[in-house]
Amino acid sequence: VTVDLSGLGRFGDPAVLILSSLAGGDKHGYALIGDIEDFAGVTLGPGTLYGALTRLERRGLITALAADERRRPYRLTSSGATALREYLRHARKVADTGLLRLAAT
Amino acid sequence: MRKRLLLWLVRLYPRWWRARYRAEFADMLIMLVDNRSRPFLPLALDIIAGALDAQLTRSPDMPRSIDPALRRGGYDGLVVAVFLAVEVLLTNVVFPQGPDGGPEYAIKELAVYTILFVLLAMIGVRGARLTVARYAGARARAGAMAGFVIGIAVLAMFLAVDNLFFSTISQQHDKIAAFAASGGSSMRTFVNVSLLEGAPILVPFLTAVGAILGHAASRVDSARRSARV
Repeated sequence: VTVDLSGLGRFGDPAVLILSSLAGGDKHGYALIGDIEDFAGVTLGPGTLYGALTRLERRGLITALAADERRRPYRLTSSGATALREYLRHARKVADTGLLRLAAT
Repeated sequence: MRKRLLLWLVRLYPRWWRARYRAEFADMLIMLVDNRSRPFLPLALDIIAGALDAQLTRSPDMPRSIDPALRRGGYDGLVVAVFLAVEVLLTNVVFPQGPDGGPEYAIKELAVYTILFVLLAMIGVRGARLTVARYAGARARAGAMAGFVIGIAVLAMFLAVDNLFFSTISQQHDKIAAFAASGGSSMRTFVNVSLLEGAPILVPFLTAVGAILGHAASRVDSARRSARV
Protein backbone atom coordinates (compact mmCIF):
# COMPACT_ATOMS: atom_id res chain seq x y z
CA VAL A 1 0.00 0.00 0.00
CA THR A 2 1.43 3.38 -0.95
CA VAL A 3 0.82 6.15 1.55
CA ASP A 4 2.42 9.51 0.91
CA LEU A 5 3.30 12.15 3.47
CA SER A 6 1.47 15.02 1.82
CA GLY A 7 -1.32 16.82 3.63
CA LEU A 8 0.46 16.90 6.98
CA GLY A 9 0.88 20.69 6.80
CA ARG A 10 3.31 22.09 9.34
CA PHE A 11 3.70 18.58 10.78
CA GLY A 12 5.29 17.29 7.55
CA ASP A 13 8.89 17.89 8.57
CA PRO A 14 8.46 16.56 12.13
CA ALA A 15 6.68 13.52 10.66
CA VAL A 16 9.67 12.67 8.46
CA LEU A 17 12.01 13.06 11.44
CA ILE A 18 9.81 10.80 13.59
CA LEU A 19 9.55 8.11 10.89
CA SER A 20 13.32 8.26 10.36
CA SER A 21 13.89 7.89 14.09
CA LEU A 22 11.49 4.95 14.37
CA ALA A 23 13.21 3.30 11.40
CA GLY A 24 16.03 2.70 13.89
CA GLY A 25 13.76 0.98 16.42
CA ASP A 26 10.75 1.50 18.69
CA LYS A 27 10.85 4.65 20.84
CA HIS A 28 8.65 6.59 23.24
CA GLY A 29 8.18 10.37 23.09
CA TYR A 30 11.18 11.44 25.15
CA ALA A 31 13.51 9.01 23.34
CA LEU A 32 12.22 10.31 20.00
CA ILE A 33 13.06 13.91 20.95
CA GLY A 34 16.56 12.90 22.04
CA ASP A 35 17.24 10.77 18.96
CA ILE A 36 16.00 13.47 16.57
CA GLU A 37 18.22 16.04 18.28
CA ASP A 38 21.17 13.68 17.88
CA PHE A 39 20.77 12.70 14.24
CA ALA A 40 19.12 15.85 12.78
CA GLY A 41 20.07 18.63 15.18
CA VAL A 42 16.39 19.58 15.40
CA THR A 43 14.73 20.24 18.75
CA LEU A 44 11.06 19.26 18.58
CA GLY A 45 8.69 20.74 21.15
CA PRO A 46 6.32 18.35 22.96
CA GLY A 47 3.21 19.85 21.35
CA THR A 48 4.73 19.58 17.88
CA LEU A 49 5.89 16.00 18.52
CA TYR A 50 2.47 14.81 19.64
CA GLY A 51 0.67 16.73 16.87
CA ALA A 52 2.74 14.76 14.36
CA LEU A 53 2.45 11.46 16.28
CA THR A 54 -1.36 11.80 16.34
CA ARG A 55 -1.48 12.29 12.58
CA LEU A 56 0.98 9.49 11.81
CA GLU A 57 -0.92 7.07 14.03
CA ARG A 58 -4.24 7.94 12.37
CA ARG A 59 -2.75 7.34 8.94
CA GLY A 60 -1.44 3.97 10.04
CA LEU A 61 2.18 4.96 9.44
CA ILE A 62 3.11 4.23 13.05
CA THR A 63 1.47 2.16 15.75
CA ALA A 64 1.43 2.57 19.52
CA LEU A 65 2.68 -0.40 21.53
CA ALA A 66 1.58 -1.38 25.03
CA ALA A 67 2.58 1.25 27.59
CA ASP A 68 5.58 0.51 29.79
CA GLU A 69 4.41 2.21 33.00
CA ARG A 70 3.55 5.71 31.69
CA ARG A 71 5.77 5.57 28.61
CA ARG A 72 4.22 4.33 25.40
CA PRO A 73 6.62 3.30 22.65
CA TYR A 74 5.76 3.74 18.97
CA ARG A 75 6.69 1.46 16.08
CA LEU A 76 7.04 2.12 12.35
CA THR A 77 4.45 0.12 10.35
CA SER A 78 5.10 -1.36 6.92
CA SER A 79 3.03 1.48 5.38
CA GLY A 80 5.15 3.96 7.30
CA ALA A 81 8.36 2.35 6.08
CA THR A 82 7.10 2.47 2.47
CA ALA A 83 6.02 6.12 2.79
CA LEU A 84 9.34 7.11 4.35
CA ARG A 85 11.35 5.23 1.70
CA GLU A 86 9.45 6.93 -1.12
CA TYR A 87 9.80 10.34 0.48
CA LEU A 88 13.53 9.96 1.07
CA ARG A 89 14.15 8.66 -2.46
CA HIS A 90 12.37 11.70 -3.84
CA ALA A 91 14.27 14.02 -1.47
CA ARG A 92 17.57 12.42 -2.53
CA LYS A 93 16.70 12.93 -6.21
CA VAL A 94 15.97 16.60 -5.55
CA ALA A 95 19.16 16.99 -3.51
CA ASP A 96 21.30 15.24 -6.16
CA THR A 97 19.85 17.47 -8.89
CA GLY A 98 20.45 20.61 -6.85
CA LEU A 99 24.03 19.62 -6.03
CA LEU A 100 24.78 18.77 -9.66
CA ARG A 101 23.46 22.13 -10.81
CA LEU A 102 25.43 23.93 -8.13
CA ALA A 103 28.60 22.10 -9.17
CA ALA A 104 28.06 23.20 -12.78
CA THR A 105 27.90 26.91 -11.85
CA MET B 1 6.68 25.59 39.85
CA ARG B 2 7.63 25.57 36.13
CA LYS B 3 6.90 21.87 35.91
CA ARG B 4 3.48 22.36 37.54
CA LEU B 5 2.59 25.19 35.16
CA LEU B 6 3.57 23.12 32.13
CA LEU B 7 1.57 20.15 33.38
CA TRP B 8 -1.39 22.46 33.97
CA LEU B 9 -1.24 23.52 30.31
CA VAL B 10 -2.01 19.92 29.30
CA ARG B 11 -5.57 20.65 30.48
CA LEU B 12 -5.96 22.86 27.40
CA TYR B 13 -6.01 19.73 25.23
CA PRO B 14 -9.44 18.26 24.40
CA ARG B 15 -10.81 15.39 26.48
CA TRP B 16 -10.36 12.72 23.81
CA TRP B 17 -6.71 13.72 23.43
CA ARG B 18 -6.06 13.67 27.19
CA ALA B 19 -7.73 10.27 27.52
CA ARG B 20 -5.36 8.86 24.93
CA TYR B 21 -2.06 10.77 25.39
CA ARG B 22 -2.05 12.57 28.75
CA ALA B 23 -0.08 10.01 30.81
CA GLU B 24 2.75 9.58 28.32
CA PHE B 25 2.80 13.30 27.45
CA ALA B 26 3.07 14.32 31.12
CA ASP B 27 5.82 11.76 31.68
CA MET B 28 7.75 13.15 28.71
CA LEU B 29 7.31 16.75 29.93
CA ILE B 30 8.69 15.90 33.36
CA MET B 31 11.72 14.22 31.78
CA LEU B 32 12.26 17.18 29.43
CA VAL B 33 12.28 19.66 32.31
CA ASP B 34 14.38 17.46 34.63
CA ASN B 35 16.96 16.15 32.18
CA ARG B 36 17.22 18.61 29.33
CA SER B 37 16.56 21.90 31.14
CA ARG B 38 14.52 23.30 28.27
CA PRO B 39 13.58 27.00 28.62
CA PHE B 40 10.08 27.49 29.98
CA LEU B 41 8.57 29.88 27.44
CA PRO B 42 9.21 27.93 24.19
CA LEU B 43 7.96 24.77 25.91
CA ALA B 44 4.80 26.53 27.13
CA LEU B 45 4.08 28.11 23.74
CA ASP B 46 4.61 24.80 21.95
CA ILE B 47 2.19 23.05 24.31
CA ILE B 48 -0.41 25.82 23.84
CA ALA B 49 -0.04 25.61 20.03
CA GLY B 50 -0.35 21.81 20.24
CA ALA B 51 -3.50 22.13 22.36
CA LEU B 52 -5.02 24.57 19.89
CA ASP B 53 -4.23 22.19 17.05
CA ALA B 54 -5.76 19.26 18.94
CA GLN B 55 -8.89 21.32 19.68
CA LEU B 56 -9.30 21.88 15.93
CA THR B 57 -8.58 18.24 15.10
CA ARG B 58 -11.43 15.76 15.13
CA SER B 59 -11.43 13.02 17.71
CA PRO B 60 -11.02 9.47 16.34
CA ASP B 61 -14.58 8.73 17.52
CA MET B 62 -16.16 11.71 15.75
CA PRO B 63 -17.83 11.40 12.36
CA ARG B 64 -15.38 11.91 9.53
CA SER B 65 -16.26 15.52 8.92
CA ILE B 66 -16.09 17.82 11.93
CA ASP B 67 -19.09 20.07 12.45
CA PRO B 68 -18.56 22.84 9.87
CA ALA B 69 -19.83 25.42 12.38
CA LEU B 70 -17.07 24.45 14.81
CA ARG B 71 -14.44 24.58 12.09
CA ARG B 72 -15.68 27.95 10.89
CA GLY B 73 -15.70 29.28 14.45
CA GLY B 74 -12.13 28.10 14.97
CA TYR B 75 -10.81 29.65 11.79
CA ASP B 76 -12.72 32.92 12.26
CA GLY B 77 -11.42 33.07 15.83
CA LEU B 78 -7.87 32.73 14.55
CA VAL B 79 -8.39 35.61 12.11
CA VAL B 80 -9.72 37.83 14.92
CA ALA B 81 -6.76 36.76 17.08
CA VAL B 82 -4.32 37.94 14.40
CA PHE B 83 -5.88 41.42 14.46
CA LEU B 84 -5.81 41.41 18.26
CA ALA B 85 -2.13 40.44 18.15
CA VAL B 86 -1.40 43.49 16.00
CA GLU B 87 -3.36 45.68 18.43
CA VAL B 88 -1.49 44.26 21.44
CA LEU B 89 1.86 44.78 19.73
CA LEU B 90 1.05 48.34 18.69
CA THR B 91 -0.33 49.51 22.04
CA ASN B 92 2.21 47.72 24.25
CA VAL B 93 5.45 47.89 22.30
CA VAL B 94 5.39 50.23 19.32
CA PHE B 95 3.33 53.02 20.89
CA PRO B 96 3.34 52.22 24.62
CA GLN B 97 0.41 53.80 26.45
CA GLY B 98 0.54 55.81 29.67
CA PRO B 99 -0.87 54.48 32.94
CA ASP B 100 -4.18 52.61 32.76
CA GLY B 101 -7.25 54.54 33.85
CA GLY B 102 -8.74 57.80 32.67
CA PRO B 103 -11.42 58.36 30.05
CA GLU B 104 -9.14 57.79 27.05
CA TYR B 105 -8.12 54.37 28.31
CA ALA B 106 -11.73 53.47 29.17
CA ILE B 107 -12.95 54.48 25.71
CA LYS B 108 -10.23 52.44 24.03
CA GLU B 109 -11.01 49.37 26.13
CA LEU B 110 -14.73 49.78 25.52
CA ALA B 111 -14.15 50.04 21.77
CA VAL B 112 -11.98 46.90 21.70
CA TYR B 113 -14.50 44.85 23.69
CA THR B 114 -17.43 46.16 21.62
CA ILE B 115 -15.71 45.22 18.37
CA LEU B 116 -14.77 41.83 19.79
CA PHE B 117 -18.33 41.09 20.93
CA VAL B 118 -19.79 42.20 17.58
CA LEU B 119 -17.31 39.92 15.79
CA LEU B 120 -18.25 37.00 18.05
CA ALA B 121 -21.94 37.56 17.23
CA MET B 122 -21.13 37.68 13.50
CA ILE B 123 -19.05 34.51 13.75
CA GLY B 124 -21.99 32.82 15.50
CA VAL B 125 -24.28 33.78 12.62
CA ARG B 126 -21.80 32.56 10.00
CA GLY B 127 -21.38 29.27 11.86
CA ALA B 128 -25.10 28.72 12.45
CA ARG B 129 -25.78 29.21 8.73
CA LEU B 130 -23.48 26.27 8.03
CA THR B 131 -25.21 23.80 10.30
CA VAL B 132 -28.52 22.08 9.67
CA ALA B 133 -29.27 21.51 13.37
CA ARG B 134 -31.29 24.23 15.03
CA TYR B 135 -31.03 23.34 18.73
CA ALA B 136 -29.37 25.81 21.10
CA GLY B 137 -26.01 24.05 21.26
CA ALA B 138 -25.70 23.94 17.48
CA ARG B 139 -26.38 27.67 17.26
CA ALA B 140 -23.89 28.48 20.00
CA ARG B 141 -20.94 26.32 19.05
CA ALA B 142 -19.28 28.52 16.37
CA GLY B 143 -19.23 31.54 18.69
CA ALA B 144 -18.06 29.39 21.60
CA MET B 145 -15.23 27.92 19.53
CA ALA B 146 -14.22 31.38 18.31
CA GLY B 147 -14.25 32.72 21.88
CA PHE B 148 -12.15 29.78 23.05
CA VAL B 149 -9.62 30.19 20.25
CA ILE B 150 -9.39 33.94 20.85
CA GLY B 151 -8.92 33.40 24.60
CA ILE B 152 -6.06 30.94 24.09
CA ALA B 153 -4.50 33.11 21.37
CA VAL B 154 -4.71 36.28 23.48
CA LEU B 155 -2.94 34.53 26.36
CA ALA B 156 -0.30 33.11 24.03
CA MET B 157 0.34 36.49 22.39
CA PHE B 158 0.62 38.29 25.74
CA LEU B 159 3.04 35.62 26.94
CA ALA B 160 5.09 36.12 23.77
CA VAL B 161 4.95 39.94 23.76
CA ASP B 162 5.62 40.29 27.49
CA ASN B 163 8.68 38.06 27.30
CA LEU B 164 10.10 39.07 23.93
CA PHE B 165 9.73 42.80 24.71
CA PHE B 166 10.24 42.52 28.43
CA SER B 167 12.45 45.63 28.64
CA THR B 168 9.58 47.74 27.26
CA ILE B 169 6.78 45.97 29.09
CA SER B 170 8.60 46.18 32.43
CA GLN B 171 8.46 49.99 32.21
CA GLN B 172 4.66 50.03 32.26
CA HIS B 173 3.42 51.89 35.30
CA ASP B 174 0.65 49.41 36.10
CA LYS B 175 2.94 46.40 35.91
CA ILE B 176 5.50 48.09 38.14
CA ALA B 177 2.82 48.94 40.71
CA ALA B 178 1.28 45.44 40.62
CA PHE B 179 4.70 43.80 40.91
CA ALA B 180 5.63 46.03 43.86
CA ALA B 181 2.37 45.11 45.58
CA SER B 182 2.97 41.37 44.96
CA GLY B 183 6.21 41.35 46.97
CA GLY B 184 7.78 38.96 44.43
CA SER B 185 11.46 38.90 43.49
CA SER B 186 11.27 38.42 39.70
CA MET B 187 9.09 40.68 37.57
CA ARG B 188 9.25 38.31 34.58
CA THR B 189 7.98 35.41 36.69
CA PHE B 190 5.29 37.67 38.16
CA VAL B 191 4.11 38.70 34.67
CA ASN B 192 4.04 35.11 33.37
CA VAL B 193 2.36 33.64 36.44
CA SER B 194 -0.25 36.43 36.41
CA LEU B 195 -1.08 35.65 32.79
CA LEU B 196 -1.34 31.91 33.37
CA GLU B 197 -3.46 32.48 36.47
CA GLY B 198 -5.80 34.55 34.31
CA ALA B 199 -6.28 31.69 31.83
CA PRO B 200 -8.95 29.79 33.83
CA ILE B 201 -11.00 33.01 33.91
CA LEU B 202 -10.38 34.54 30.48
CA VAL B 203 -10.78 31.43 28.31
CA PRO B 204 -14.09 30.21 29.83
CA PHE B 205 -15.36 33.82 29.87
CA LEU B 206 -14.72 34.40 26.16
CA THR B 207 -16.05 30.91 25.32
CA ALA B 208 -19.28 31.63 27.23
CA VAL B 209 -19.66 35.13 25.75
CA GLY B 210 -19.05 33.71 22.26
CA ALA B 211 -21.66 31.01 22.84
CA ILE B 212 -24.28 33.44 24.17
CA LEU B 213 -23.72 36.12 21.53
CA GLY B 214 -23.45 33.58 18.72
CA HIS B 215 -26.66 31.89 19.79
CA ALA B 216 -28.58 35.17 20.19
CA ALA B 217 -27.34 36.64 16.91
CA SER B 218 -28.07 33.46 14.94
CA ARG B 219 -31.64 33.39 16.30
CA VAL B 220 -32.15 37.00 15.17
CA ASP B 221 -30.61 36.09 11.81
CA SER B 222 -32.92 33.05 11.43
CA ALA B 223 -35.97 35.13 12.33
CA ARG B 224 -35.08 37.81 9.80
CA ARG B 225 -34.45 35.27 7.05
CA SER B 226 -37.76 33.48 7.82
CA ALA B 227 -39.63 36.79 7.71
CA ARG B 228 -38.18 37.51 4.27
CA VAL B 229 -39.41 34.17 2.84
